[in-house]
Amino acid sequence: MSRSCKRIESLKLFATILLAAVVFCFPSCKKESIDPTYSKAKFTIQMYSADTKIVWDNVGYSNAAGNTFGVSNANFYISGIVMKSATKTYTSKKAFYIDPKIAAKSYFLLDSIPPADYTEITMYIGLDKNTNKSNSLIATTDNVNMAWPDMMGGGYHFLKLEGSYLDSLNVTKGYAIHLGKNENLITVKLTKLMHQKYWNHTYTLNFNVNEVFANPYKYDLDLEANYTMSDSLAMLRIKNNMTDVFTLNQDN
Amino acid sequence: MFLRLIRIISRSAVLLLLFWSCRKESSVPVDAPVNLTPYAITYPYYFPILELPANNPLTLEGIDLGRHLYYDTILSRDGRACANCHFQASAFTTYTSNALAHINLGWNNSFLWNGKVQGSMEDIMMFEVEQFFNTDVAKMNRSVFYRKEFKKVYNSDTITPQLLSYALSQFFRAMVSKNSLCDKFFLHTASLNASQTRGFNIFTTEKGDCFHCHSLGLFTDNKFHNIGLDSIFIGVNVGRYNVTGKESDLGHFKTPTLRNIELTAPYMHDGRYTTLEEVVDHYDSKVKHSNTLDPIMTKPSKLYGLGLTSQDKADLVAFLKTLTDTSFTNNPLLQKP
Repeated sequence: MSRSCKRIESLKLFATILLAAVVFCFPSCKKESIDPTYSKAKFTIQMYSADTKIVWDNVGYSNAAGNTFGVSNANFYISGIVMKSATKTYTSKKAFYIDPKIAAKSYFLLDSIPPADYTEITMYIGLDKNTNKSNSLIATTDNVNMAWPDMMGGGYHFLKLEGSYLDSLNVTKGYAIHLGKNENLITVKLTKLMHQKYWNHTYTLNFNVNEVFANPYKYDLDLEANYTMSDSLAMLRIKNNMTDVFTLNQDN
Repeated sequence: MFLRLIRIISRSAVLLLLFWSCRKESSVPVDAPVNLTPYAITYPYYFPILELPANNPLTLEGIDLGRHLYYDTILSRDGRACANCHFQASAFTTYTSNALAHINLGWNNSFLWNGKVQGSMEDIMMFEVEQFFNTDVAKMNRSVFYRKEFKKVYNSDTITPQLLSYALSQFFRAMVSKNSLCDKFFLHTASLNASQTRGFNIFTTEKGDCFHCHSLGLFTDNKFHNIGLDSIFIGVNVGRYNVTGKESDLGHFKTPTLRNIELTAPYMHDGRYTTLEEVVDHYDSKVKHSNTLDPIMTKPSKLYGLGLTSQDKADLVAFLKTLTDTSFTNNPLLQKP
């Protein structure tokens, strides 16, 4: 065999091996590939009392009724997310369990968002009626702990907001704002310009606890039910108050 | 020569490509023998999903090794074994101590009454080996039986605290209670009698409000609460405060599972109650106020109490007893070898 033939054979071999390597490697890289036509967004929930960031268990915040209160726990679902721009609508069918007390559970991620300048986002605090059925969610410990017993209608707690407040005699008492049942699903609508480009964006959803206790109904923990689960009127009032509980900021 | 060079370059290129493309997805291989019998834990749909570590797969041989360790005083330096305070007939606790029962701990990620150990089953078992029992690992390595068993299960010539924790973890994960009358009721294969049914209604409604902390399924939320046992916190009663140092955690203790509660007296972290009737009485009318009392313990119009009748209390106790699982307390897989 001539020297040039050997070179050709060698190049052929080189090319074949390289091709095999590329073909072999391609499937293993699938998960890391980036689709340039879609983007992602991370929404982190932070708890506030008006403009003050909540320190858990600190009974030192004031609501519209003048109660001095603190927050010990907040657990809720965010679902039914729709983002709208002038030309595009993005919908997420996922339900996210949120616990702002735990960093790993204080946010939700949206993916496959068509890049656009979105001007509006709507979401539920809670679960829609198709999801709000006993055992419909994956049985994680969090979801199991959010169950709304069948004896009381079934499905899940949409929200658990628990803490303490000082009564009129300055004695510390507890409150447990629990919402569930389809009629108490909260719809939140935020009008805000969201520049969603081709990369990952981060947003902060500020949960203003004061809005749970005001607008339109001034909810006085010392006079109203400090425990709402079996009180339809209390739950309705809280539901109506909570439509403006969030404000949205784009971080990047 | 040129051909050889090309071949070397080609192979190197392939290896490099494979390395770079896959390195983020690679995992450490489990160095375990292959001739072991895999063991799958089954549980009803209303249990949370059980997360199992990839590096300690359950096998019948591994569970059996953990079982030997559980019942063997070799684990300690002072003649103690796990089984000394955790009898199977008492759902793996004992009347003479307030030790938490070993039931369905595979679903836990915080352990002991005050949550002193957080993490996986392997983490709590490492705590047991290194701190609670202070196991003499050298002595363990002198045991022909255990060296043979660890070689078989973990392919290791040396027994280490880590491997001890792994073997114990396998046994603990197998300690699953899921076959009580209540489970059969949930699965529609059995019925509750009238009293038990009334008790279930009290349990799962605001009347008793037990379900918020004792979530149906595991009958614990795996969280910490102050249920009003004390208003002044000293000694062991400070609870989780001992771990976190946060005043808001004073008097907070882990929610124990109610599964097999009939068998696990005495009750509470200090064993202050000896009967279920006393426990129900506590929730009904003996809750003590403090600034760290769990918000869930307050009720409108009947602050710090439930207002149950004698019949309600009897019904609630009747329901609690439906959580007794004799297939668990007689499970041969968990018996003393």
